[in-house]
Amino acid sequence: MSAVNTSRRQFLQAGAASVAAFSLPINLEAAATNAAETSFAPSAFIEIFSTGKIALTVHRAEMGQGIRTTLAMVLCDELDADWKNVTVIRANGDAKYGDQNTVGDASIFLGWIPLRTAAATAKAMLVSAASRKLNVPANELRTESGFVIAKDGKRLGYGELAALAAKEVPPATPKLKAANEFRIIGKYVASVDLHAQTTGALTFGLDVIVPGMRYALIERAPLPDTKLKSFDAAASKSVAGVTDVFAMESEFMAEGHTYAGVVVVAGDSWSCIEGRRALNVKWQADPASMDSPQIRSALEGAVNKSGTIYRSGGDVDAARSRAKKIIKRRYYTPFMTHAALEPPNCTAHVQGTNENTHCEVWAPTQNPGENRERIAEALKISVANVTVNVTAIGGGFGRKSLHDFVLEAVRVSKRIGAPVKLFRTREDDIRSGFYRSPSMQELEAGIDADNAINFWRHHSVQSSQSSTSDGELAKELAEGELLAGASRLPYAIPNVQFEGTHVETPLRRAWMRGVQEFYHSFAANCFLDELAVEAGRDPLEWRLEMLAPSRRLQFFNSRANTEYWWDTGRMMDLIRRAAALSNWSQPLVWVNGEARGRGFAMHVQSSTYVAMVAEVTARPGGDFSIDRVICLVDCGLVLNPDSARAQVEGAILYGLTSCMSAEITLKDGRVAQSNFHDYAVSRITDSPQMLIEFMSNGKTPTGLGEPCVPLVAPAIVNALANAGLKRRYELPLRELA
Amino acid sequence: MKITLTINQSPQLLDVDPDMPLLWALRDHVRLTGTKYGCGIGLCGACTVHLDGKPVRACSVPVSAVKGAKITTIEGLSRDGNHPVQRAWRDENVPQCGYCQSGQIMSAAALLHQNPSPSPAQMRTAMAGNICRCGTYDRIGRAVERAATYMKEAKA
Repeated sequence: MSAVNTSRRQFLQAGAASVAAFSLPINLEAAATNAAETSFAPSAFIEIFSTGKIALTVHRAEMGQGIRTTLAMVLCDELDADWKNVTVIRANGDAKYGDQNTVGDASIFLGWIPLRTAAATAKAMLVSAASRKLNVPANELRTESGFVIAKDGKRLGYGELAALAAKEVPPATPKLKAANEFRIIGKYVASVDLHAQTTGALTFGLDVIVPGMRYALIERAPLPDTKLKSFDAAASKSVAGVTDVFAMESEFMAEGHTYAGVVVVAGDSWSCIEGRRALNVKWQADPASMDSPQIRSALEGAVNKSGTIYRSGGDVDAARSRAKKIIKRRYYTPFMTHAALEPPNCTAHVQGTNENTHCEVWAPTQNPGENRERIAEALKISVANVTVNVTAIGGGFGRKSLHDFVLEAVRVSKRIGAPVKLFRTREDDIRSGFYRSPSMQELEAGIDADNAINFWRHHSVQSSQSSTSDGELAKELAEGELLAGASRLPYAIPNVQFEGTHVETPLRRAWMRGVQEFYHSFAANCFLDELAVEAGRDPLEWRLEMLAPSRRLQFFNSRANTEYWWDTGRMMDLIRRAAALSNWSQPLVWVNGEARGRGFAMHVQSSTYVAMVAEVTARPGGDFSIDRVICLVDCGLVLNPDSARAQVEGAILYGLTSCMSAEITLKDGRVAQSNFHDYAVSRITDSPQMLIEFMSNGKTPTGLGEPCVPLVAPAIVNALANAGLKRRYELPLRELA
Repeated sequence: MKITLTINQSPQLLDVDPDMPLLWALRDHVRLTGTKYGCGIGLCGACTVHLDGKPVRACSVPVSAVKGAKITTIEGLSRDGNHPVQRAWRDENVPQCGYCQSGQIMSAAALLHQNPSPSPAQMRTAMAGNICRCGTYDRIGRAVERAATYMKEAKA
């Protein structure tokens, strides 16, 4: 299968049934010049052809979250189109699609109303064209499954109306459907990529083949700042198939800092691997580099001091002196990495010289628009000369929103003057990736004479991610790095203080599914659970009391719609439902004399409210099993229920890996882990029984990729304590031998 | 080295290093890219293919060792993409990103070929070598059960 610019004609001929055809990276720019078909394109995203086929261009990256299917459902429903006529196309990085960076659970949140508006506009224009053609008032026409239908039963298909509709004036304010008029939204729909995904036909980045393409691997420096000393180019070149061996300097670019390395180019992947093995690279020693014990000491040193105050209310010091009991705990989480099963890779072709240089890339990227700008910047050419084709993505989790893997491929292609696929082995991915920062957090609270929490202090020490995104070393944490799960504490506690301290560490940091909320939720949910035990309170009832009365909370000044201010009433509903579903008031039945326990955690992220109950069995000697995870989700209206459920299942497994086994350490100035034996991820044998339920309140739909991830670790840790095991304050829970 | 491999019932003449893992021969030389790279050392199962009907990790088998064997990849599992396991995978809407699913399907098909009625524990053991980072394991379990039913129905 080769990556070619499938023309629109080819795409139409391929038809809806030929899934493989539209799994190819399609370049619509090229297709647009081949406008043989009459079509009606009411927006950059929707095109209705005279054949009745409808193309939806999805500008958000599909990495398994189901966005292609869900947005197709939204379009189809609002347009009253026939599902089998809708085809989904991946947008390339063209600016006409707006921001395409697919991160932070924003695709539905930001996109569903604009898409519905565009679809309703198209529908109104189709109806208007039909009205003119049939000479029937528009308000006497209805739409259904791709037809405009008159009262007398006359029907005109969208295809035959397309050319006429294109001449109609778009309505100023198209009318959107009411929720009770949805026909597809909220129903089961199989994923649009399902056939290709189950036959090996879906083209991921690593599967792209461009005529004349060569392959490349880079032996990267052990750390981002390490410099190259020497390498044996001749030995590498003596490996059959190796054509080029050269050094590449590190380059610091915003979100794309590349390591120094030695590039091996060859005719196939295996020759690259063998050629690289022969390199015998020596790196300049970096004596100042910190290993994991020193990093931990630095974090501890920082948490021992006061941090910058990001939010405060009341008087924590005065409250401390009045407290009946003061509890202080520390929580630690290590570096972790995304480990998407498809390692980052990119195929690039740079042609021409000077200002006539053109660059085309094919990449599993979450961020094609910015990729395009960065490539243009790196090559000093106009963005118009850069095409970024987005392939299917074999897991992203934040890693593939960065630019390093794309920019490296562009540099290699430019240097060798040929198309090249730059791939990474798993070892490359684990050792020279981007990482979730380690964290050391101190939480302190007082319990007063009424058994209420009278103060709460949370100091979060972590490595800022802004050094990665802003291209310069961070001096302190950004406000958002505290808001993410720490300073947005919704409980009515009279005296609060949230502090943060940035500590520089040697590895690059970036977003990873769950982001900073992962460790903040872990600490805050575990601490609150322990406080409840200390105060002799039920953790659910206690939370309900501190959330009442139902109120709206805004933690920082923003222009965000008040609709997205936190709603403690929704949290209370969720807690009550979690209590009912888990039979919380009844103790778990012990089996074979083994202690069982359950733990609770609640979290709000991406304007989605989530509660989780974990049930565990504790074995003599401290071993344990996770029997069941109950997850309650309030993400407003659920557009694509099966895909939404899949997101929750996946988040539970992703959170489980981070809780149980994921740990990146630095030893002797390099990442100690290299593959799935020492960076273990959850397998089917680790998968707990899951009970997932969505609150159906019909509110505005919100994000779902991240919010369940940060709940898994605290729910499990609280359950282990509930089952009588020692309370844990550090992740991961299991150490690999 | 020139070597002829039998892949999806057709002979393929390759000129490659005999030590080249079958995975790279399939992907780079035969251009069958449905078999995926995930770890390179047999830990993730993404490259699972059948060698004379038995599941192997193509990343860990050199081409010199598979001469004369019948190699089946995801592309050759069924003529029309409708092997009972593939159908079950679709009916359970298993994949998220889909990257690991070729390997998952090949492991499941091999399991059911060898044991048409695996217990849940046997199923988990057989599928434990296949990593899915999207976390589709619950659905994989259900899809294997469903595929077993489809295969029994076909025989009945």
